[in-house]
Amino acid sequence: MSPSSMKGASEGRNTLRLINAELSIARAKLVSDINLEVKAGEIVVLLGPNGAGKSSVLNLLSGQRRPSHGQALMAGIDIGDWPLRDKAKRMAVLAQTSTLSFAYKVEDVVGLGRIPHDSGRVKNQVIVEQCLELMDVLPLRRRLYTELSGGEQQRVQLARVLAQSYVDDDDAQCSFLLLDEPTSALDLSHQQLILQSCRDRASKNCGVVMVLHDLNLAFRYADRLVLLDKGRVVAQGSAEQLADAQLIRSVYGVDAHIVKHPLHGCPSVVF
Amino acid sequence: MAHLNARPLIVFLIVMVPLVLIAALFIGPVISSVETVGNALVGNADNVEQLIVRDIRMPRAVFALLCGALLASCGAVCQGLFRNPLADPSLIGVTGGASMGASLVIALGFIAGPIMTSLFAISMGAFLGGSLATFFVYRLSINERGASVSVMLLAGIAVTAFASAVTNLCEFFSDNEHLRRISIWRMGSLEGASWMELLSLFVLLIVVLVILIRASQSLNALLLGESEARHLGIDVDSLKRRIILVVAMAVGICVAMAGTISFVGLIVPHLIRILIGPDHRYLTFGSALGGGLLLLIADTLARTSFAPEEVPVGVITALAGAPFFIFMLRQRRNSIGG
Repeated sequence: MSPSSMKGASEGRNTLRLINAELSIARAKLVSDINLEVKAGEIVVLLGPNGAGKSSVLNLLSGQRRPSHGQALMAGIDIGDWPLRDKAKRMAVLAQTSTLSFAYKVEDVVGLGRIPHDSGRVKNQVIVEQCLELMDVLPLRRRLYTELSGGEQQRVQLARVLAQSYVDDDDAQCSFLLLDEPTSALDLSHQQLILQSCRDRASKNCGVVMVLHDLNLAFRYADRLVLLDKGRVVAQGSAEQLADAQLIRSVYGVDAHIVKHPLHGCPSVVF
Repeated sequence: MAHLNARPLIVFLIVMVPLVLIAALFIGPVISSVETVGNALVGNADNVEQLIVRDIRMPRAVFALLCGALLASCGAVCQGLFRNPLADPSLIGVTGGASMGASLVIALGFIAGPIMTSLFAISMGAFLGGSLATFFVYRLSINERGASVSVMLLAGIAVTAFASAVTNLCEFFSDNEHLRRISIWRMGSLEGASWMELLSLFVLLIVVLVILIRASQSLNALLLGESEARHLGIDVDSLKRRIILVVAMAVGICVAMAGTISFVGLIVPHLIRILIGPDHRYLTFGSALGGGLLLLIADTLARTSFAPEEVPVGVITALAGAPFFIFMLRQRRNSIGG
């Protein structure tokens, strides 16, 4: 399968794009020939084995790293050329590991997500509460972050980026949410909760890109999947297109069987 | 532990400042009468005792307040910058670097003429030495999880050792006159500051506090990590430069004027953080108030506890601070990596 063609794309006002992007660090090529377009309103999931380059792609999209070759564009403008503050208003990023060793209250950590915005205290308070509620951490709001479990901390960090990428209903601007393994420390019900919140965000003109390891979760919630291996895009497309036993075997080296989910109708993998 | 509300604590500290200041005026080898202090405060001094209160105790108490406020607020932001609650200017080499810079200026002064030995030149030397040391230790110890404790403290030790070697060399090659100047300055004391110097220090404190408090939200974001702060729209590199320069300047000038006073920048922010949490919007100012109070109390103790002998105030803060630091190190050993 070839990467989906980029030719049809317009100048891309509501998109995040990588065009023939390559990232090399100290002469080691981490990823190359990456063509990827994320539109506002869709969830794109990056898949692949460890070391496939998923985080590198996310780093290119977030502007954390500039491509060694090729381009990374948000709304048609090179991501590195965006003023930091303006970029932060439109893009929130959650890294794989977030460490905070100072004893902030949970609600204050989430409040940090509002730093780039000038929405005022009262409104921020409402947004923070809403995001705490969404991530099921509202009862913990006055607890100290440092005293929480790993999964609780992850949900608090997620609430923080949700608060940052919060867009008003009357605000026409799109935003982007980039999440690196947001479910890694979460139990089953909270994994569903996160993905459902991302779905809701996408319906509010937000483009979501995330790295996931759970294929079934990805098949169920993603609009588009991007399968990476050894720094290259191996396949890109819908769940139906990527749910291919042979493809999964060739990338992950495991035998998989594809079945249809009895309830949701999306493909599921059993091993 | 739940935090207190920040505002009442800050109001309480603000109220405490004049109270402790006035109390310190009464206390000396001889406890002064209300009449004496009252007269001295309105500027009259018609006997020796009133002169002592007005011209010796008062400037010294104000000096302690200003110095303590500078050191503690710098400690607070230093810990934010390093994302590590153990980063005290005196432990990470800022103070050592500043001493080196200052003594180099004094020692080389005889080459460049008498103007070089002025306080301004010494302060400049201290500032340059201090910023060099901070920058060096920061570059060496920072990683994606904040500054590693061991690397940061070891780098601090190395910088301090190097700086004190240079300072010793300066002494070794100085003539008698300069040697005397360096050693008097090195012992450090809050004694004998002129009102002009105190006024400049006060202006410096205001400038430093304005810069640091304006950077509060950026520092808060930085506690999440450098790239997280960038994703929140903070220009991290410019923030770091600003903080390092301000800390080096403030600590450098404190060192130039009062010598080495350690641990104030460690104890005070830590206590304030326990009370009201790590939010820099309150922490920095609260630390300034707390630091001023602590150093004033410490200096009053230094003046009186072994009267008529005076011990340098740095001795008192180190006596109290070192055990506190060891206690914190034990506490933190498990929670902060490597």
